[in-house]
Amino acid sequence: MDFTQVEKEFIRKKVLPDFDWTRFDQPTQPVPLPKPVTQCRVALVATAGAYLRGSQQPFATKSPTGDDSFRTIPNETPIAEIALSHPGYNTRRALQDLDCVFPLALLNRFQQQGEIGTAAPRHFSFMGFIPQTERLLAKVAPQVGAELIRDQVDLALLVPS
Amino acid sequence: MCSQSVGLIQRVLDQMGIATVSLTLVKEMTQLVKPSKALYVQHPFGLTLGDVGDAATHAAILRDCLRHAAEVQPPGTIIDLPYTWTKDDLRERQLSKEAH
Repeated sequence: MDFTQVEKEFIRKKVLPDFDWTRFDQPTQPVPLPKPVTQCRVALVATAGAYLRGSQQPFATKSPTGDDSFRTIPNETPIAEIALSHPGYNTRRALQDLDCVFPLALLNRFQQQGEIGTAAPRHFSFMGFIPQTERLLAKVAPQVGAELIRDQVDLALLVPS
Repeated sequence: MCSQSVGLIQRVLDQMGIATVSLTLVKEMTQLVKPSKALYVQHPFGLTLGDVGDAATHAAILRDCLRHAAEVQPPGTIIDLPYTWTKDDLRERQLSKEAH
């Protein structure tokens, strides 16, 4: 039995009896990079549940319907100000080294080393337990896309946990 | 479920004309969602880029993301990256819901 079946049965038993995966018949078309990576502005979009511990609410980790909201993480945020809320993995382990799931420090090192053009001014954080996906697809993800376009991001790097 | 959520967000960004590349920890999940381009790593949930303190693997995976982002591939390509978890059985226990 593959993990999609294991996870589906787990979610149906624990939280949502009618849960099923969202699936598509056709892949989306890749968008070519507009310039060499070494000139690109790169943003993180990660689902580790990262939020700013002093000024943002943690994600809802107890809700059976998950949490499809997002948090904006400014690029200059000190790593110590970032916390994690997520029901699906051991956040205490990842908090010891945020690059495991939210590689903000690493991306900025790559900027300093000239491996990317710049880290984007803002990064976007979700909590990946989102079993009901209609609003994510129709409203929330497009909001993040609009913000990425506003920030003139050339490449979005998406990281699950 | 994170790999589904990442794939769904990626699909939206693809359709808005934003260049994307993603990591996935569960290839079967990404095969259902079909974002434009994903890189598969066999790491535990919560250690996507590698173990705590493993800066070399973190950097190697980010470098792979950037390299593959620049490549032209057919839509829906999932590339197997050469990273597996040998430290312990955490990933196996997570995949059978015995650990998180």
